[in-house]
Amino acid sequence: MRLLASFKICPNLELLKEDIVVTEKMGIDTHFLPNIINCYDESALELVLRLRDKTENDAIELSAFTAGNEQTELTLKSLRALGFTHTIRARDNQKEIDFHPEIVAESLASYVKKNPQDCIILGKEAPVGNHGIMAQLVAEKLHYPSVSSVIDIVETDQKSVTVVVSDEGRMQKQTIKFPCVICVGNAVISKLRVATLRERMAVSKTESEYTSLNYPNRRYMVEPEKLHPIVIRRNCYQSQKSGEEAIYDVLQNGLQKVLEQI
Amino acid sequence: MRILFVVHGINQKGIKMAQKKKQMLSEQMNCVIDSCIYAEKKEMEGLRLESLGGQVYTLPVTISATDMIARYLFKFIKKMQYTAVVVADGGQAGELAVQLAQLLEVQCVTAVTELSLNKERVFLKKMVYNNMVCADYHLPEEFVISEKFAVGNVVNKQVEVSEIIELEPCNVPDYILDNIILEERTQQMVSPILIAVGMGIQSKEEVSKIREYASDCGFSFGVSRPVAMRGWGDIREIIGVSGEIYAPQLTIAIGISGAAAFMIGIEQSNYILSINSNPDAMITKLSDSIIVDEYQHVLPKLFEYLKQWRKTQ
Repeated sequence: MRLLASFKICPNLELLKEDIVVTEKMGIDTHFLPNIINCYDESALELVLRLRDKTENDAIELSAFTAGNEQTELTLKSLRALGFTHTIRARDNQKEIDFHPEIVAESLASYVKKNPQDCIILGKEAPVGNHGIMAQLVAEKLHYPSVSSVIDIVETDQKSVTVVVSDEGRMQKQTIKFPCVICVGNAVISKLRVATLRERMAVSKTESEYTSLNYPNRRYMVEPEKLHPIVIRRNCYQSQKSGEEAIYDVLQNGLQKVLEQI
Repeated sequence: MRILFVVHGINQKGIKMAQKKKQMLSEQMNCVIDSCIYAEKKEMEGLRLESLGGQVYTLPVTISATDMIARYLFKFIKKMQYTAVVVADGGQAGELAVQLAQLLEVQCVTAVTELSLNKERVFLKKMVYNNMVCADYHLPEEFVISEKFAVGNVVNKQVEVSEIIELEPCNVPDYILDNIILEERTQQMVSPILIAVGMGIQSKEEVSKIREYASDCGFSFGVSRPVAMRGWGDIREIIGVSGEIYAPQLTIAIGISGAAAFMIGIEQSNYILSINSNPDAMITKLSDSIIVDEYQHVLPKLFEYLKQWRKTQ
């Protein structure tokens, strides 16, 4: 059985406060921010590893795919240390993919057509674009069914995978026939395990496989024409008091009126 | 231009919201808008659709498998010659929109916050960079989008009663070998007051205590995504871009940093009171008032006051 997890490395935007500068290349300057695995993809990677843990080791061959520049190599090496047999990088040195998940989807689909997989697992969305369309694009290109809002991957046999889906408040357990695409949403398993030193040393001489980006028909690709930072401000009254006194202070300075209107 | 507005009809609250959004869409796009509501039979029976106005088509489904629904809708859209599709906000709205766009071979943008038409060009906005930046797009007249419109201040207008037409049901796709419902949907409480907690709350027990308090008073309750991911809250309680969007009269944000991805869940609040021990937290500029103190020094008295206030309502 062959499972492939796709992930994206992105800047940690939680650390970006007010220094938002829109660059000429229609992005924002994030060079000073540390990179992380996109949170939904991180859940997907860990869920895949847990699935492998539950089944016999030889029964599952794991692959990890990403598109990006050399900054992704450290993560790819960590994934090999954790047991991903193949780590594949679609080289993107020009940051073409930032607003174009269509390119990543085309590249991933192209790889899978040459290297068939039973199940492709990826997170539901990622910055920069927050489009949330990768899974469906990949599924359509490969003519695989897709299941979204997956919050857990329970078990697998040679022909199917069982997942838990959160469908607008309803939780359901579904068994999906292979091949398929699984899109991971708000999974409670949210952190990827860390490889041990021994595991890292075992893969110190291994390398990623490389492929180039593939481009879909540009007619269906959508690009933003302009970016502008959001500036939302409220006239914040900051109480200079503390504890119980602060409560009465904010009541006198606006909150009481709000309560009266409810 | 003829637009089909597709809505997942899971409850009447969603239909009311859809009515407002359809009204807004109709004013902005100045064209005919028909609706298609897809839902399971049991849920569809509980919906009152007359207030949507215009043609309303109902599509019974057995399972909400978006690719199956997309294939079904694709044939319907082609037959009825709709030029554009707007998928109403919901758990799988983006997925359905993308699948429809692929089948129709048109451009697609998800999570659109604003949409308008000017001289046959469609203008839209969406949030990118985890809601920190707004992106402007132009699309041709044939498109598919999923929406995240803000409708806090839109008042429902009287419309002509809808003509409701039931379509042939959509079958269970053959790739789903088994489907077991583990937990049913619960009716979301709608309250003018929302209590929201973030990672500033230091333990699962504290989160539970605040949840219990909110429930006792009949207030809505939600958590930031990191709180839910830690297992201190249910994923259905997440507020923000990956969860629920609220528009209450009052939000009390406790231990919330003010990250953009969360703030979109409460920014339509009439009034935001924050309690945070960090005077430099981002939420300071995004609130109407802030108490800078440890929440343990503030909450007991604040909750007692609100409980007394609640009794007088």
